[in-house]
Amino acid sequence: MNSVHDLGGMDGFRVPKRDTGFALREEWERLTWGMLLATFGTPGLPAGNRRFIESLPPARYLTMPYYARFLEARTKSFLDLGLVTQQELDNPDGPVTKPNLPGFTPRTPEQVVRFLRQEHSGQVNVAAPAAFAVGDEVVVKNDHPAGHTRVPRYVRGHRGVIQRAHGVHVFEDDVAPGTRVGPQHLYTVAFTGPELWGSRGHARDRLHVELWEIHLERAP
Amino acid sequence: MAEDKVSAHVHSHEADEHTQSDYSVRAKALVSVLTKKNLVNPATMDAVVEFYETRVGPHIGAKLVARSWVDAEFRARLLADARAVARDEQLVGLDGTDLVAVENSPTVHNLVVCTLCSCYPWSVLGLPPTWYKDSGYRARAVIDPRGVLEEFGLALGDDVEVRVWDSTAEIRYLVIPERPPGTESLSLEELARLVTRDSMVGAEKLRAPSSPEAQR
Repeated sequence: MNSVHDLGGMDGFRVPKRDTGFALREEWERLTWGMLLATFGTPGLPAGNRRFIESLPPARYLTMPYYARFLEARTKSFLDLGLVTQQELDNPDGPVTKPNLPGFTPRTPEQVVRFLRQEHSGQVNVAAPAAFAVGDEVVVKNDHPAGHTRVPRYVRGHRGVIQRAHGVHVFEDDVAPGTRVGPQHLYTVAFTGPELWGSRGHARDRLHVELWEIHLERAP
Repeated sequence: MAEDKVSAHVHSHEADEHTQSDYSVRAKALVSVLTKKNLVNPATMDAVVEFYETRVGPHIGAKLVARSWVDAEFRARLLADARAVARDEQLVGLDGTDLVAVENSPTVHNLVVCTLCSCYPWSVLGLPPTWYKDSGYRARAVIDPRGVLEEFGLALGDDVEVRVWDSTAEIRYLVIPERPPGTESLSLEELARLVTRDSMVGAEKLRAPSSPEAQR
């Protein structure tokens, strides 16, 4: 999706001042983050929020506080599932209807800590030959899918070198309805500054992006 | 830089300050309704925040870095397969299992960013700082990493190679900063205390413990 979340290389933004301290500053940020991970795994709830967040109107995306994007995404998911209603959210002290989730109990503190401590790898144990090896020259396919993609605009159509091979990883892009793209070999691809940015790129800069095999072609 | 001062700035953290109370109302309403419906356990929410506030954080990455300074075999293992080291040391977790370590030197400087989102190695550095999630950092780090570093207070010569790592998949990067001079007599614990969060993202270099900057 060619939306404003794909920020790499855009002008007009100020470099932030570096801040210190714990990331969750406001009480509502702590509530949002705690709720987000404590409700992870609720039946029917999408695992990720990036599709929703990337679909926000660009001006809103840029001006919302960071954790508000997640609050809005998770609220929408609960509404879509019918587990909460807008009337209930508008009047949180009023009556609520019990959700129709037989046998459901929310995660306990022990369960959530175990979950946070588990291995969460993108790698899957699938045997598949790798199309590329470290050192191979590749070109990123120039594609502009309307759905979620992990290919930033600033590398599309550009030439790079396979810098590291990571084995087979779960494919994260949206695919056309009715089609399926299985797990793919994942690579770190290195690009030079001038290759990506022309005269603004520094000859001694190397930019690295993780890309899946389906995103790449062998360089001519 | 001149280009900083021209256009109307969009600064994601500051621009929306007036609606903080709206988000507070909305977060409280959602949590209240979810709690009444038994869709969330408030004690679990507290456990999540406590976990990220006290149990995982930059102190974990700092221990890895300090050990890599004194133990060449460990450093080689960390650079070759940080994922295996994280597993051996029981440091895996949500965001950070597929860990890669990269090392700074007098001629190479590494900088980590996530231009599409805010991916960050939670399991070894905790939750990302506000600056890392800022639109300005995400926009500029890839096209002008040297300018960004200069604004962060680190001027690099043209002889230094800058390597930027944009975390677009599940791979998470840990930068091993250079060991500051004058630290030969320090213990492992003392060395770990010198390692800052931002140095492990590549946003700063570490200074000698006796320098005025390091005393701040």
